[in-house]
Amino acid sequence: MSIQLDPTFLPDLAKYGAGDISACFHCGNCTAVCNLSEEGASFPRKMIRFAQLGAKSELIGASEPWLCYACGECSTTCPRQAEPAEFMASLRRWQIAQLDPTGMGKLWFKVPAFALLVTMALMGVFGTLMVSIHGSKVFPQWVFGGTAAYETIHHVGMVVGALLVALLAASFGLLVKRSGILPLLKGRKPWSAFKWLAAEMVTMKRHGDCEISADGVVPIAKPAHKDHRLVHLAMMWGFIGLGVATTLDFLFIFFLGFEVFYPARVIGTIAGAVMLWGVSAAIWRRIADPKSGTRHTNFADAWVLAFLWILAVTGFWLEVVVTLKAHHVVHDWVLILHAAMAMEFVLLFGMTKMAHVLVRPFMLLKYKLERTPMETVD
Amino acid sequence: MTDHKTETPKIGVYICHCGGNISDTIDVKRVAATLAEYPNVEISREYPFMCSDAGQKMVIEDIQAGRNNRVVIAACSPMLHELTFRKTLERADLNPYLYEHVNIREQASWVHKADHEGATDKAIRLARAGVEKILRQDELESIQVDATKHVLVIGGGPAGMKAALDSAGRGLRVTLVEKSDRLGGHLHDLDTVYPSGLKASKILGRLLNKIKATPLITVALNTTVTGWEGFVGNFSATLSDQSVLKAGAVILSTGYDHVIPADGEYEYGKDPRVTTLPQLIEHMKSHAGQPLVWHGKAIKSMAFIHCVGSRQKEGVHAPQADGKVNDYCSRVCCTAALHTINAIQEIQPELNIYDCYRDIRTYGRGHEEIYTKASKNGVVFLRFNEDAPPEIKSASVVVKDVLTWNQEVEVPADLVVLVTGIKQGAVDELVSMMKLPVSADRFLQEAHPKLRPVEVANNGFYLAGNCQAPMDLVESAAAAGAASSKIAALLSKDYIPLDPYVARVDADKCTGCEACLTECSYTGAIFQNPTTRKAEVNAALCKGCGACVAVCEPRALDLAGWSIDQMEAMVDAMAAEV
Repeated sequence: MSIQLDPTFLPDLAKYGAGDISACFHCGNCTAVCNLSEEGASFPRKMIRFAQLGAKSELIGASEPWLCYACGECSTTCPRQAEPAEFMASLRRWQIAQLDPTGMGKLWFKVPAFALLVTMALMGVFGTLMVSIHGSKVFPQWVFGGTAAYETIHHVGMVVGALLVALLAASFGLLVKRSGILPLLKGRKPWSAFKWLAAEMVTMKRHGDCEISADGVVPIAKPAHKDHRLVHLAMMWGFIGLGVATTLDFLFIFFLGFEVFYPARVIGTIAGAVMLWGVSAAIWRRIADPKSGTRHTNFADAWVLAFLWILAVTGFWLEVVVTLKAHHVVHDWVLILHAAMAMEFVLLFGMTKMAHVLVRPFMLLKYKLERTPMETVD
Repeated sequence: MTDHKTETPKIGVYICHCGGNISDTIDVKRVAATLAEYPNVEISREYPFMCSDAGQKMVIEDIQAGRNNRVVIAACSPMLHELTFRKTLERADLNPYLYEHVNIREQASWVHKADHEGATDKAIRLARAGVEKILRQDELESIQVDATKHVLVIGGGPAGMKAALDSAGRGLRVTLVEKSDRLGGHLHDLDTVYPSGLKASKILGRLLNKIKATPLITVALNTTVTGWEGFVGNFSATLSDQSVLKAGAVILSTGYDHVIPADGEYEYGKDPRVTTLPQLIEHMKSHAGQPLVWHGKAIKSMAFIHCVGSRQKEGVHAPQADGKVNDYCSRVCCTAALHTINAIQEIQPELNIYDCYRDIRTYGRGHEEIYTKASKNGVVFLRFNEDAPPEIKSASVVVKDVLTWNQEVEVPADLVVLVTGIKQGAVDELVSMMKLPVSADRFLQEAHPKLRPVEVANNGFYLAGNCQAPMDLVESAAAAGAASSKIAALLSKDYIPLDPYVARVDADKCTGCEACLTECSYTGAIFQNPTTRKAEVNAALCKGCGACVAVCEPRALDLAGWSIDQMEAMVDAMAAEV
């Protein structure tokens, strides 16, 4: 079966942030310099070739885009300024967009104006919801005095959470189908692959390998805020920690009916601080050191970082005012902003860059299964 | 000039260090000291750079002081500095042919880097042989032939036109012979030319106007050369109108032919969608600025296939008429194809173009930009191996693409363009008439690809353009200019000096057996005197190859400057103990 071509693919991918990919003349320097590329899981050149041909069927379920952590070495080495690192990032965005069951994901990445419009509109919807359901009471008695809005936030949150689960389930179905992972699992007990995946997710070892110098031995000494892996770990663990804290909070308040200072508050505070540091470092890098890693920040990337940062900052703000039992109309606005953004973030989770939380581990598992001989899987 | 014949030979030997090139391997002091002891050697010196002013001055002072009257310099290759030192001897008022250049760099130090002892011994043997040779050297004089200040240019394409203009620009009279009824050659077939993108018709118009405005140039259209005799400076060509033309030198600018694909190669001739690049260019020229329509069908997607009729492999490709395949690269077709692709995409950027190549050779100045532009235009490049050529299907081309790990890629194609190569034109008659050397690729061959790139080994013949090898317009023009410069130098005086190393006959010994006549490869170089029946040599035509000497039983023939006596003495000197 010969490869089917689609000449419209490359111009389309450019809208996801790919550079001048047609400039690539296949010297292979990008693949040679990549610490993570290997026999049987070769990139970026292989992916570039399929993209040049528009061989979408070869790309849509490929795990290679997710084996890359965007150190940017390939873009530095490329003699044709084809920007392979940007290309790999664009391929990840494209894959995510193809997984969004609503079909809006494509527009989200390709048309920043659309993304901005959706962001503002949802903000308006959630904000209005919280204000109007509460009624038209005077603000000072609103949340930091009453409880109605508090309930509204939780109920809307639950609906949004349910929507998220449904959307992610649909994406997951598409992912399973397109990646062709089922035949890899057939007749196997893939526990060792899962164990490897779990360790990989906890430590992000491959991300660290990505930042080993080109001779493959000496890790490049960097300050913590320039260590991409550490920054990413901080964001991830901070995010997970906040998730755990929120869940605990939710359990205690709603089902057990009492408020505890520990452990939810402690976990939330620590996790929030860690995430805020990570997100700040990530934003700082993209502004102050754009030459490292991915070089171009598009709207979808900025959106995620901006949301996480504002959520973390407003979260801390609320922590402080709750602790101090402060009463001021500004705090209510901060709460509305925080809650509306959080809901929007959760609702759009699957069609933004955040979908990588689902896709990357999945593709890492596929990669591991592909590379593990049948008989050695226990 | 002093007559040295009566003098006792006093030989000066000079060993050059070549700034370490020689002295790092060879013990130059030992060579000089050993040669100093050799019979007939009066002085023996070594010096860092013999070719430097100081080195040459040393030789001149030694000669003028009467310390020597024959010179051996052991140094680099004679290709580099033999002429330099001949001139040195002239400046010292000594016959320049009393000089022997011994090569101890290429022939000793460079090839025996690890064996210092052996290299030194070899240098001594070579230098001794030089001494023995120059000891027996006659005082030769260079041969002088008349220089007819008229250039014959054969072929009126752009190279011939440029060669004619440049020769005339140096004050020489030119006859430009063209077999067709118009000047311009293949330039007529082109729309625009790379890398400039200029209209071919514009360039052609300029050349034609200049030629018309140059009274020194005579253009002979519908004319071929039918007869040929003479030698450098004194050629006489019979033209198809029976006129005879006297010329001092000739420039061959006979051009090329396009390779026609073999019958059925890539379905050529069977599938109307399959054409060649020259045909496509012709079509585009006659439909300038219009979207591509082929056999009534608007083209949406097309494929180019490179290396058709070039870089052929025996056993894979059908042989040409002479039974051989064209294994050479035609060089210009890659850029020509990409230039054409860019022209198409300028009018139809939405047209999908697939370029199937083996290797892209955009080698020239400005060519890489043409490739880059094509790739920016979105041309998809696919690479195939010579033994797995693309397959033409009913609406597509299937390529086993090396860049995609030899997976089969099917590209849609309403039109398939075979990028055909360039082959030698119809020059067989000229070749046999003028005894021109031909390379394995059937192109006319230069004397040396680097040192004498536009000269033929036969004196007085020069090459310009595609008769020598596939060239683009820029290269053809450069070659034409170079050939004209060479001719301007050749015909600058009233006579042309030639090396005296030619055969000579001892009439007393010649028996008139005619063995030499059949052995000689150069028409007219050796001939029989009709009255005496003895052999005689035309020094202007003789190349000094020595073939006649080898077959002459009575030893009546010998080679001036390379006599049998000299050879024997050299062999003895080389074989003797160091």
